[in-house]
This record gives sequence, structure tokens and C-alpha cells, in this order.
Amino acid sequence: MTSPGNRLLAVEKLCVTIPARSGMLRALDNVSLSLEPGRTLALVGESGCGKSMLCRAITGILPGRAATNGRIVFAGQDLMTLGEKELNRFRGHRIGIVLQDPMSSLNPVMKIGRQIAEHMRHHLRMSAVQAMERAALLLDSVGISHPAERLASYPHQLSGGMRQRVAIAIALACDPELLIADEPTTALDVTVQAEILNLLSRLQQERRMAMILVTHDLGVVAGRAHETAVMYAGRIVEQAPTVELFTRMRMPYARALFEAIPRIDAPPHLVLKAIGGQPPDLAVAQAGCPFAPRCTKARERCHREEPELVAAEREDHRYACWFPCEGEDLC
Amino acid sequence: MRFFLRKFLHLLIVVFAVTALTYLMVERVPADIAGEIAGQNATTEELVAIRARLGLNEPALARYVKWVSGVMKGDLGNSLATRQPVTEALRSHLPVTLELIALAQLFALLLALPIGIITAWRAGSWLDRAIGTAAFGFASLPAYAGAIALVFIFSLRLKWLPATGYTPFAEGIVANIRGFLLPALAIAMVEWVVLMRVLRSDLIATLKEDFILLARCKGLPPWRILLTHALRPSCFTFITVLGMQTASLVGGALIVELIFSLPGVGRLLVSAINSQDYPMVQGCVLLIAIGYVAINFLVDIIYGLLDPRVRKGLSHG
Amino acid sequence: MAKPASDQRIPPFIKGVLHLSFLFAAAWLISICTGAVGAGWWAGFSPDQMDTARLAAPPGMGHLLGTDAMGRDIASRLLFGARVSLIVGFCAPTIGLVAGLLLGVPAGFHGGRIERAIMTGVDVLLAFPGLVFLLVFTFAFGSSLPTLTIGLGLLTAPRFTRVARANTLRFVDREFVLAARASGAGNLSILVREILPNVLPPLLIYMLLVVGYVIIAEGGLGFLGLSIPSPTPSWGGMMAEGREVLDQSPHVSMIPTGVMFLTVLSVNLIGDRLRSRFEGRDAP
Repeated sequence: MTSPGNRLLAVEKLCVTIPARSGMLRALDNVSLSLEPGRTLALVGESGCGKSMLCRAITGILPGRAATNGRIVFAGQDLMTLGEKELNRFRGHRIGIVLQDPMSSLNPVMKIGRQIAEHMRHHLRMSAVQAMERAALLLDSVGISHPAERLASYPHQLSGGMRQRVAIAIALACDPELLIADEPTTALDVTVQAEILNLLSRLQQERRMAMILVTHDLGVVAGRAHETAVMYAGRIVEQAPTVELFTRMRMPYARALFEAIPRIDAPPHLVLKAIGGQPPDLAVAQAGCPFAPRCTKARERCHREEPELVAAEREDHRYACWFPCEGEDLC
Repeated sequence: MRFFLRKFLHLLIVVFAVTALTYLMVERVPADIAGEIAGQNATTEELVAIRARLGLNEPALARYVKWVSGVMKGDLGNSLATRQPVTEALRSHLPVTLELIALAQLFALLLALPIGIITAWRAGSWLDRAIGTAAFGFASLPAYAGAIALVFIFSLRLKWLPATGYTPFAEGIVANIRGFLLPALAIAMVEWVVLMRVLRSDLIATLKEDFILLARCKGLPPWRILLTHALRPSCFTFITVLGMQTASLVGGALIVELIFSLPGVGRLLVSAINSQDYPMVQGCVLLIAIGYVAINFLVDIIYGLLDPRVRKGLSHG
Repeated sequence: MAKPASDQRIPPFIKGVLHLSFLFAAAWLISICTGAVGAGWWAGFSPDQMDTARLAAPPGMGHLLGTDAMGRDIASRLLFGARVSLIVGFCAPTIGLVAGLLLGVPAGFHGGRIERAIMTGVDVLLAFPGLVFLLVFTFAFGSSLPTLTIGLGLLTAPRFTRVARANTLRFVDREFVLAARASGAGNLSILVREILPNVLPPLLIYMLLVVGYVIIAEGGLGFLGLSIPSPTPSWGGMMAEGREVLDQSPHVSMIPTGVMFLTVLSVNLIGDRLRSRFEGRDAP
């Protein structure tokens, strides 16, 4: 484990509950993780598992009526104790975020140059001219050609991939220490996805940023993240360095996700392995492991007691399962 | 281009239809103008002569056509009451109405804009609900009632502002504006409600968008997000309604003009109706109709300029 | 965690509508209507009876709401004036509604040239400033009660047409219409059986909002002295007459103002409440 002094971000026992019509939704349940400067953490899981909610909690943009518990320590400060004004000094400045759909996350009636420059002017007190020059440089660094002319374009004049590059430029504008990428490629064409992901990795290394990469696709994670955490029903159910995770998956849900990835060397017409059933209703408190209803390996204890996230053989590999998979064979 | 031409044609049709309708209605009046002009003891020959001079013997359609061709040349005929060209009277009365409308809409804007923004930002709060209730009340009060209340409070009790009277611009700007404050406020007190509601509703929808979320994630302060990101995409309906209101105010400011004795087009029209001054009535209605249609036309143009996406579509249409 | 059970005895529609403000509004309207209908019985005085001893007297001393500048009892005049306002206020929008149905629904249903012609006509009428139209209309046709009603009805017709057309367009492509057509129903029967029942409710709710507008418009005419000629009182006329004694006796103008305000407010409240319930959206 990393020493506490080294960590850029430390989330400790974070709980987020949201009142909804059907009851109190436990969107995040005792989530703890940490991230060092310059490292990438991947958050993987199905829709609704809480990965986006975690990103929003870190940036402090939760729905107004959310109840929270726990700590989010960024560079030594607990963000949960800060007010809006103080949080605004972190947002866009020390923490950058890239959202999922660049068509909706960019303002359609504002020129992209201005969208990149405005928070630079706010946080870094740049003049308009300085900010625009830097915006052009940023566009260049994210691989957009003719950056100076592009500053005057509107989002609808760009392709999907280019819009996401602009979104990345926006996120990087004030040189953040942490970049959160919330499903940055989900809304893009498959051909463009790899480009964007590679761009993110390159930029991260160049700037020595920490990055949280959120995705529902395990296949995206290999080779791009130092550490991977798998989430389910608002909890982290397995977490390990990526290589270790891929070679020795313990939790059946993680295994199932892994097996669901289509492989290029699989025989044609092989039926894709989907995970049966639905994710649980977060408003209903359940006894036992949240994945138990869908787990092929579930036994009586799984339905009764919720397993804790613990490290067994290796300190940096934690998982929450009573009957984890052994070795590399299928569970 | 074709888009604008078609709109313009539509415009012309509407204007002419309005004047034709007016003509038809005014025709029904069984008044005898010739008798009024000639006086009590006029002889039949005199009456006939006057009627012939005024062209009253020709069929209505012929007179209308003559009037229209006159309009094309910029001649609206002469007032039957004053014998002066109608255009002169319009020219001297129009600026007053325009100034009233401009001030009224300015006040309405000054009320609707900040209140709309604040209530949208704090939608659902007690402030929002309280303002909404108050707005409902204002919308149920007609302008003339508001005018009376304003006169009572500000003229009679507080003695701050004059109850009636008009000072031309040339004789003193401050006095001029003072004369317009109460009437403009009376109109604005009703107009602002619809504007505010429309703006608030569009803003609330915009604030749910992703790009507002991203703006918040950039750490921008709320007022900047509201003014620079949220406002512009939300103001289309607002501007359209503002335009439509202004257009209908051209004729709608009438009562207020009368209450405050402002020499505008409204008062001109009413006195023309009372004295059965056909050419003047026609002229005023023409002016009002043109104003209405022209302002709506302007609104369409501004709409296109504001939204770059609409502009793109226009160039293909 | 169990949800609290909802009250199942009262249907949700009615329950939402039984709001305090709604009750006040309904109570006020019922009182005004009763007062207007039974003005002859309720009114203590004849509307043109002048009590010269008490000119512009404040409320009290034999006159419930005081007297106006000519010594006439305000309360009685309000009741008689209510007749005009309410009759016109409800009949004129009805005319407009019928006109709107006859024009707007075919416009939306058939589309094409018919629609264009009708909607251009609507644009023309809308370009005619309301009050100007009323002035010229009353100038041409006089200001008796039927004339006023027709004139105001014509004034509201274009807006009804627009709303009727918009609502028709919402339904014209729906499945049940296509189904009816597939089973061989002719145009007229589709219009009457499928479209009309769906278009009528929103139009009726819109009509309530128009009622407020008409009451104000009639008040405006009365204010200018162009509504029902005296001796019949009208609310607008009373407001105008009160201006002469505004300084000394503001109640002469303010009381009719208040009454008109409460009436229009009540109508607006009910219309707004019904609309938000019917459309399932929250009213602003």
C-alpha cells in the first residue's frame, strides 16, 4: 500500500444517499480508494454502479438533496468540509473533468476558444489574449489541426472525436493535478475511441497527472491503468494493480465482466457471454452480497452476510467475496 | 434570401388586409360628415357639393383603391377635422408613442430579467414561490387599473411625479422622462410577468443541460455561469415574446396614453374616431398595423442572428 | 422500507386541485355570480339612485361600500356591473371557442392550402391591435350587450384558432386516428369522434384564461366610456369615474378595481390550476 503522505487523493468510507421517489437510494456505500500523483486508476462497472456518482462526489457536484458521509482528502484537504466557493478553486484548476458526451457537455452557442479560455482567465488571471494563445497551444497538444482557426468554431462544426479533444483541452487548461475522465469514449465511434484513449495516456504521462478513468468496458483498461477497481451497486468489489487483476481475478462479478469482453481471436458466431439479471435496486437495503442474486457461484452465506473488502494474499489486491475464484481457471 | 422574401410578402398581405378590414367596418357608420362640416342650416346643394368634394359619392371599393394608391405615393390624405395632411399628424404623434413603448419595455425587461434569472437559479425555493404568486397577481391587474394606483401613490400622495402632461424632449430631458415614468411603469407592471415566466422556464430547462454541469466543474462562479452560459441559449422564447409584446403595444398603449394625456398615436386615433375623421382613422390603423408587423419581422431576424444553428439553416432556405 | 399508502378515496386529479387558493377563487366566483344574477334582490339601492346627502362617502353609514361622486351606492352598482362583465366575460370566449373549433381543427386536420389560408387570416386578425379593433368595432356597430359580446368574441377567435390547430396537430397522427381511418371511418366522423374529444379539454381550460382577458378588455372599454352606455354601470366605467375624486376618496376607484382584480385573479387561478393538473406539469 502506498504511504499516506504520498497520496494525492484519498477517499475514505464515502457514503452518498439520494432521496428518490422510491425511497433513499444508496448511490455510494462505504467506498474507499487512494491515488498517487502520476498514476491512473480505472473504475469499471455497469451503468448505475456508482462510478459517475463517485466522480461527481470528488468534484463536489452532487444533486442538491444528497446526504453524504465520509472523507475525500485531496492534497491534504478534506473536500467534504469545504463550501462552494472554496471548492470552486479546486474545480477546473486542480481537478479537471472530461464528461461522457462532448456534444452535450460543450455549450452549443459559444465558440470553443472561449470555452477553453474562460476558466483560465478566472483561475489563472490571464488576459484575454494570453488565454487565447494558450488555448491554441492546448488545441494543438490534443491533436487538433489548425488550432488558431479552430478557436472560432462552434461545437456543431466539429466531429465527435474532435469535440472530445476540445473537452480534454478544457479539462487540462489550468494544469490540474488530477484528471477525471468519466466514460470519455462511450459516446464516440469505435475507430476514434482508441485515439482518444491514447491521447489521454500520453497527456497524462507528459504532465504527470493522476487520472481516474471511468468506463464500463474492461477491455479499455488493459495497458492504460496502473490500478483497476471494479464497482457494483455503489461498492468497490475488487481492486488491484491492473496486471494482477487481469491474471488473478477473484470476485465472480469481475470475472463475468472480463468474460463478457468480445475477443478478436474467438471463433466466429460465438455467443457473447452476458451477465444475466439486473443490477439491484439501490433503494432497497439487501442482506448479503449485492451480486449474489446474479452470481453463478453464490452459496447460502452469500445471501446472508455481506462480504468485506479485504486483501488476502497480496496487500494491494482487495476483493469482497466469500468464495472467490481460484487461480486462472473459470470460476 | 427566399425566406425573407416570403416573410415580406406575408407582411404586405397582412398590412393590406388590416386596412381593408378597417375600411369595411368604418363604412358602416351612418354618420353624415357632410352635415357636420356644413353646419346646421346647410342647403341640399351645399351638402351635395361637399360630398362630391370629399369623394363620398363614389363606391367604397373605388375610394379604397384610391386611398391605397395614395399610400404607395406616401400620401395618406387630409384629416377631415384639421384639413392638414394625415402624415403630418402621425409624424408628430408617433415619437410620443414610441418613447412610451420603449420605456415600458425597458422597465419590463429590467424587472423580468433579474427576477427570471434568480427564480430559475433558486427554483422551488420559498423565494421562487413567493415571487411566482406575486407575479400571478400582477398579471391579473389591467394596465389602466395599475395606472390609477400609480397615480394615486406617486402623484397624489407622494407628489413625486406628474399625473398627466407631456413635455417635449426639446424643452427638457428630465421633465420629458418624468412625464413618461408612471405610464411606462403602468404598462411594464403587467408585461413583465409573461417575460419573467418564459425566461425562467427556459432557464430551468437549460440549467439541467450537461454543459452547465461542465461549467460548474470548471469552477466558474454561479453568476458567471448564469450570465454567460445559461442565459443565451435560454433567451429565444424570451426575445420572441418581448418582440410580440412590443408589437402589440403599438396599439395597446392607447388607454395609458389617454389616462396620462400623452399626445401619442392612440389619442390621435380615439379623437379621430370620436370626430368621425375617416382618413385619420385609416392612417392611424395603417401605422399601427405596419408597426406591429415590422416589429415581428425584426424579431425573426434577430432570432436568426442569435442562434448560429438557425443561421446555418437559413442560408439553405 | 414501506411507502406510506396514498389516500385512495379521493381520485388524484381532484385531490391536487383542492388547494386553498383554488377554494378561495371558486368561492369568490360563486359569490360574484350569485350577486350578479340576483342583483335585483341583493342590491340595497337602484344603481342610478343618487343620495345627494352623501357624495363620495366612504364605506359605512347605510352604504356598505360607500358612494361614488354622484352619491350612487357602490355596492349595488358593482352587482349590476358584474352582470355586464360576467355575461360578456363568459359568452364572448364561448363564441371565440366555437370559432376556433370551426376554423382551427380543420386547419390542423387538412393542412395544405386550407391551413395556410386560415392561418394567414389568423395572422391578419392578430395584427389588428385588440383595443383598436374594439374601438372601431363599437364605433361601427354600437355598444349594446350583444354587439360587445360579438366584438370581443371575434377578438378572441384568432387565439382560439391557433390553440385548436396546435392541439389538433398533436392528435392527427396518433394511432387511434389511423386505426379509425383504417376501419373505414370518414373524415367527419373522425373529426367528431376521435379528434374533438381530445381537443376540447385543453381548449376549455384555455378558455378560462381568456375569460380573464375579456373581462379586462371590457373593463378597458368601460374605462373609456365605450362599453354599455349609462345608466347601466360597468366596472371599468366606475373606475374611470372615480378618477375625479381620486385624491379625496380613492375608494370610489379602488373598490371596483379590487373587485375586478379578484375576479380576474380567481378565473386565472382556476384556469392555471386545471391546466397544470391536466397537463401533469408544475405551473410556474
